[in-house]
Amino acid sequence: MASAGSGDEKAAAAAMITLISSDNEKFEVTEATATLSQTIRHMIEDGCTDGGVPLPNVTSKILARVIEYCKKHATAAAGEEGSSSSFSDAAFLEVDRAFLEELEEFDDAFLEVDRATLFDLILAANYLDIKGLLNLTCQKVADSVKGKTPEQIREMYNIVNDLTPEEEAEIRRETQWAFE
Amino acid sequence: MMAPPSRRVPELMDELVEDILLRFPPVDPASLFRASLVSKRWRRLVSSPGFHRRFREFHRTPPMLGFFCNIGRVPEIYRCGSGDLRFMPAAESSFRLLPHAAIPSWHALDALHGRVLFYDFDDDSVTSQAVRSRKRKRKTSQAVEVEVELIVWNPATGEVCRLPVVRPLHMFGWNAALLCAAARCDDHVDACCSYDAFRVIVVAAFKGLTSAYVYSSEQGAWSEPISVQHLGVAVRLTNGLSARTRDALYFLNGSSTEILEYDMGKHEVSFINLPSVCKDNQFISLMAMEDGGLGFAMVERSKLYTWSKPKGAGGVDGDAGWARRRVIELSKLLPASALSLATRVVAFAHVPNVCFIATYSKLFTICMRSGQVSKLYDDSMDRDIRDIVPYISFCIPALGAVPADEGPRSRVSSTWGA
Repeated sequence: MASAGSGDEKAAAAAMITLISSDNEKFEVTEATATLSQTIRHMIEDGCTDGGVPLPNVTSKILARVIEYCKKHATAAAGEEGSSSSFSDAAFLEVDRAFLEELEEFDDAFLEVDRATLFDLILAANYLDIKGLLNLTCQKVADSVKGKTPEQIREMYNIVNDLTPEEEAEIRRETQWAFE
Repeated sequence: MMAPPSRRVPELMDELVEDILLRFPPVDPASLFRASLVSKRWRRLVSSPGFHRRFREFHRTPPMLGFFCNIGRVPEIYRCGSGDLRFMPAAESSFRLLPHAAIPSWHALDALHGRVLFYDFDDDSVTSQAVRSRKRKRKTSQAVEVEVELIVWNPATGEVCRLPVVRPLHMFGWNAALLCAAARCDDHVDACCSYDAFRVIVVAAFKGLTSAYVYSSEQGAWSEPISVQHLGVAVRLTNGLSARTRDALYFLNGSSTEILEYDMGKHEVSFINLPSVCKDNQFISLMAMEDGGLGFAMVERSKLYTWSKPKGAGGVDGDAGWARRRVIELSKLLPASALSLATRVVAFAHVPNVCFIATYSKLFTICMRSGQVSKLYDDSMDRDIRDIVPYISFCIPALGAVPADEGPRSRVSSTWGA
């Protein structure tokens, strides 16, 4: 398991990538952090990251959050690689479990954002192709509409109801049980 | 607590709205139905065949939404074809049937990929030989032939298919099951299959001959029967659930001495003997094992036993190839009031790997992995529960108004029930 200290040492030695947000703010990150994004991974592989990676679809506010997520999960990925060796004694598993719990807590806290930010994070995760973040944010939205009526869902996410009253009545009649 | 939205929520493209809808829990289909009422766009996305496929692929294991059964007063319910059809939702499931959706005289036989196979017959169809006297009909039930109507119904879409009558069937000498239209369908992974078509197999015994008939929804007709001479005791196929493995379907013979095997690839019927331990047991339940082999469960003296015969295990005679797998002490899992001589295994569902145990007026499931017990039914009104068919399926809205370019969905009926 990589401790925070050794992670930083590795970072110092590792190649750094500059990400540039839509509002022209620059973020220096390690390659390990950046390559959680498949989009950036491909750019690195193609050797087109010199002079920074412009991300015109992501604001600095959202990019900072995305990087926060990637840093945490890059450490987790490194930890997993470490633990996949022959060590499997109880103490080691205990550390692993504690780390996973910590990661879960991080994810929960990370998702404590307003709905607009949550949607911005979905868009950024999709654009940057970060599977874990896309899964996390989409699941959060799916969970948040659980048990909600169509009216409540529309209100939560500013969706205009363009179904005609006839269409609405028809769906309700066909699937009455779902609305009781 | 979420902070109040300070600005407008940005628009997501279709693909991302789908990514959110995909993560709705399959056991709560009501959420998807409510989502389909949010806007035209959400409705179009949820109803599209592409989303249906992705949803099944994403979740892989279909949820147990509940079970079909027939409930009636003892002893009437012990007569073939009595009791009123009911759907009982599982504890977590939000799936419900509308009260008028199904016909009370239907009896569930099997369920697969969202469809349920029912049979129905009315006393008028019983041939003249039996109609002459009801008393005689009971006494000589061995000789009673009935015209059985088979119905395939998809409760989620309202699709109903009434099959042409195969032939008059011996009242207790037949059974039927649903099959996927795709060859070698792997039931464990619900996503592999064609959902547009289905097959139904009927096995029937009459005068020393056992025959299998296959109905194909694509052809809208029954195949020519394949028949084998079956010597010895008359084959009395009961209405117990069949077991489905990748290559074959298995039906229990009512006398609990043997199993009828229908090989789907070769389209052949053969018989496998049950081990001698279950000779006197009236209630055994066939099960498809995780290794692709065949097994069964039975209760004896408050213990649940499972046996299996691995795929390819030799020997059709007696005990050959059979091995006892597990013994579960029911007195540690079920309340004392649930244990009696009437305690029996009534069904087995291999996808969530649960065993249905019934006793007088009570029904439980036992998860074979965790040993967790759930009480599904407890009736104080002197009624018993029969013909239990677990309903394990994805249930996704397939509402009428899907654009014509998205395939043959328009033939889906927009009403529920028959």
